[in-house]
Order: sequence, then C-alpha cells, then structure tokens
Amino acid sequence: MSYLAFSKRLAGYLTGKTGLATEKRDVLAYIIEVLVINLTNVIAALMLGAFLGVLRGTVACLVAATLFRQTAGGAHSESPWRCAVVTVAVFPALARLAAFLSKYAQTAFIDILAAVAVAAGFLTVILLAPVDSPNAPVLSPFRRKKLKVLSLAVFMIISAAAIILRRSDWVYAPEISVCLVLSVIWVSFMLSGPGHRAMRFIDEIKIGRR
Amino acid sequence: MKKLWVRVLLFTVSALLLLANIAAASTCLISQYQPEMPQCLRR
Repeated sequence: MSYLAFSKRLAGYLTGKTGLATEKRDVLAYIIEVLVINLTNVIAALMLGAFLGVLRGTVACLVAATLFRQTAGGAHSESPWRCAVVTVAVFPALARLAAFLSKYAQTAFIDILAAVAVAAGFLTVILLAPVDSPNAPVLSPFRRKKLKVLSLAVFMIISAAAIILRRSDWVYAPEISVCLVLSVIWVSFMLSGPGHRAMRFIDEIKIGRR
Repeated sequence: MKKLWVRVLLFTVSALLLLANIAAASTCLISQYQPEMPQCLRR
C-alpha cells in the first residue's frame, strides 16, 4: 500500500503504542490520509471562497457535491496534490459563477441551465452511477445497486432543493439555487467519460523537470 | 499519566477504525483523490 509519509508514520505510532495487529496499520494509514486530505481541501476551498466573497455559495457547492459523490462516485486524480488544486479551485469558482449568473443572467437562461443539469444528472446517474475507482472498487453487486438507488435519491433531493429555492423569497435563494445546479453539472461531468479524460489530462501535466 | 495517554490513543484508534468502515461504505468523500483502500475494507 502506498500512502503518504505522514499517514504511515502516524499509523505506525498508533499501532505500536496501542499494541494493535499490524494489518490494522494500513487501515489507520488509509483513514488518516483520507481525513487529512479531505479536511485540508475543504478548509482551503472555504478560505478561497471567503476571499472571493462567495463563502455561502462555496458551502452549498461543497455540500451538494459531497452528498452526490458519496453515493455516485466519479473520476479521481492519481495525485493528492493535483486533486487538492482541482477541489480548491473548482468549488469557489462554481460559487463565483453562480453569484454572477444569479445577478446578471436572464431567468430563462438559468431555467435552461437547471433543465440541462437535471437531464445530465438523471442520465449519468441512471447510466453510470456508481462510478468506483480502481483504488476502492465496489465489489458486491448488492452494494452497487444500493449505491445507484441512493445516488438517484440524492440527485432528486438536490434537484428538489434547487427548484424550491428558485421559488423562495429568501434573499440568497437564487444564488444558492444556481450553486446547486452548477454542482450537479460538475458531478455529472465527473461521472462521465470526458470527466475521466479531464482528470487523466490533469494527472499527465508535467510540472518542472522530471 | 502514561495510562491515560494510552487510553486516549486507544479511543483515537477506535474512532479512526470506525470512520474507516464508514468511509468504506461510500464511493468517495469530497475530493478527487482516492488512496488505495486496504483489502479488508473492500466490499
């Protein structure tokens, strides 16, 4: 198992001090890495969102995408650092775009965008979800079926929330509604072939001399 | 003091193992990176 040095070191320390079986060391290294990377990415995305003046929208995008990706899955990067750049850049950018669209775009355009998101989300969930990663495959057919049903439920909840917010009088409702729509489009893209190719392209970008 | 520290570590390890099982039930968390999942968590 190839984990980052800090996860292996911390897992080794915990295993040694508690007298845990050595096979549990990999489990600890795995969860430490997952938690640290995800927490760092979320905090950095929120800080960038706050800096861009769209903290509320960034939170909405992160919540929608997290709920959707938990069950539907999607494309992954092979590098934690490139993944961090994508995660930290995408969600505040979606929130910024949502703030712009909710302020300046015509209602008809936002309605068309919402219709595209619902169609794309529904089709990708029905045809592709759950999209697992080779590093964490979904082995059981029963679990695969369960994840598909759950991702369809999550998709319907997010779509319903976007529709309800479109009709709400709350001052931030239009912005949050567009955030949800853009998040559904992003996650649908990550489920699809072009989304996988985009992540592969990001993985293949050469940085510095090798 | 040493006993208390070991208890804190045991609690931390238990919480982390529980979280590992919860995380294993989903396809991914938030970010685009997925470390290699240990065989015992795969299902």
